[in-house]
Amino acid sequence: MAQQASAGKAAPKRKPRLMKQANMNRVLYALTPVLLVAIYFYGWRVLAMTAVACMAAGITEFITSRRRGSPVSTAAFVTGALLALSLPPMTPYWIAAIGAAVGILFGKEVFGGFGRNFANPAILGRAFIYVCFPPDMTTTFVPAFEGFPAGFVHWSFMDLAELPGRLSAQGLSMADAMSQATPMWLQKNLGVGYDLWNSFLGNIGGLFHAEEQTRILAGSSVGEGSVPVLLAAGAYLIYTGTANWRLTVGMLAGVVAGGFAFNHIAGGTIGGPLFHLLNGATAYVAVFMITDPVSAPKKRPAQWIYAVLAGVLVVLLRWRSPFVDGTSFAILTVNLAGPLLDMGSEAMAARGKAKEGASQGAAS
Amino acid sequence: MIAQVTQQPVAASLIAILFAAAITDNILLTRFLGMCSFLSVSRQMKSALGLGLAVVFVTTATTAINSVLYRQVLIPLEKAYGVPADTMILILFIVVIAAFVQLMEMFIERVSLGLYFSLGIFLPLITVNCAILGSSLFMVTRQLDLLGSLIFGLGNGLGWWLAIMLMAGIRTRLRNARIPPALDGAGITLIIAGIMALAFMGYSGMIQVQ
Repeated sequence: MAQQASAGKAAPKRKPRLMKQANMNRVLYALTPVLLVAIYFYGWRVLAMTAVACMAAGITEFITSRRRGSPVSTAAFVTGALLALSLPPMTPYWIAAIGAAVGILFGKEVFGGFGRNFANPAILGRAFIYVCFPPDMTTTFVPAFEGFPAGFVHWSFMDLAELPGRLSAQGLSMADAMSQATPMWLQKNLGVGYDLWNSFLGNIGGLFHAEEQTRILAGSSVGEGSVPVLLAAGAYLIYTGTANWRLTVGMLAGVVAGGFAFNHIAGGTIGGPLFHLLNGATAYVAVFMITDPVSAPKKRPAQWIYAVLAGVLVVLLRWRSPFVDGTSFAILTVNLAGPLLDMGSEAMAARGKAKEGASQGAAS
Repeated sequence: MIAQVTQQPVAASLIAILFAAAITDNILLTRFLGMCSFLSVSRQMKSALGLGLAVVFVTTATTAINSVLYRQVLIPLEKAYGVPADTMILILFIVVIAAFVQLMEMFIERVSLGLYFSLGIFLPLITVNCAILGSSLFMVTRQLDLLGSLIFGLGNGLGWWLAIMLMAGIRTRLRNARIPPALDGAGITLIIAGIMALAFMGYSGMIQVQ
């Protein structure tokens, strides 16, 4: 990881328009299948949303980095794509653009560009728009398309007639069932679990009836749906050395531990470890967000604590926070703690070495 | 939620007060009190640690002392002579905090000269830390008893200490950052504080104590 960071820092000395970063290119390659799956489930609007976010990120970085005299980095487009794929399917374009711009400007550019920030820009942008526009971020969920061409022949989810037989067969109109709920919301507010196999595939849709209201079950964010694709992308990133496996594995372990512990404390109402692994943004965040080499700590023990803490916090936030899936807050929190963890493990290592030296000195 | 907390045993509600004050209702990151010393002293880890611990101690002690004085002096005075307690608390609390810090400074100077010099200007700075006065004032609005105020003060102090430690860590890490000259110093620190507040916003409302 340290090599990558230094490679990123060395590059700006030359002055091309676009700084090419091999690692960031690999993240873009890994995001391509995720994007395709998102289009499959939610229609071509996802691609437009991604393009808007990438453009907003690129333009913001172009304006700010030109003053500094450094080129636009590929990382800006990675931030834009990561942010867009973490949004609900029907998020207005301008909100996606604001998220990307804020993430790039306040998450990265005010600190001097790539490699110098302490927080993950995409996560910062996501948390910012989640806090600023909660209605748009929590009511724009729609169910996934199903059956082969699925989203590939649709722009976006418009009305229930376009939808899968499982919905239209019920003779519902959009007005009858406007209220959408994600599996996470279901578990949190009604204590109803959703079929884990469908959660695993990202095939989220259908109707359910509870508390005298029929709700549409809907996917929460476009990119986080299909766990197998995300895991494959993660495997590619880890295999090519772009992502650090400790961070991914540590975070998943943290989610499992948090799922066990908090579900036990809450009396089984918040869903077990498997529920938290397969639902919501867990896989997406563990593969793409926490592995950001810039914001993660550099020392090995610090990385483990960082990742496990993030996983535990994810489940804690799902349990107690008013935000339904506050994964971004968990990542932002560990981003804040990252430098302290690094300094702490450095100090511990120094103390260990001093002790070793002292005992060797005593022996000789 | 509120009803639950009051029904819980005393220990559980004290833990709730502690965590609410330190994390979910962090005095610095959700109310932005005590910013001046937070901005100026967070540059270095060592001074941040020293000041943070001093603030923990002073907040805990003065919140408890003020709680006793409010109950035993101001309320009876208001009842007996009609002295308005609401106006008097500001004067009384500021005097108590200033006197306590002064006493502590004299005590430390007498007992450990090394610690006295290493804390230096930060000791008198504590007097003007509004998080400490804020802690006492919130104690009054929350109508906490003595033990509750002690824990509440401790929680506020620990929350302040946590925030300044995180900030010092981040600022140490940002040594190699190329911060635009216009933002250097207080500007970038406020932006970082904003990012920290954004992160802590996710935890707001997790524990509700009143």
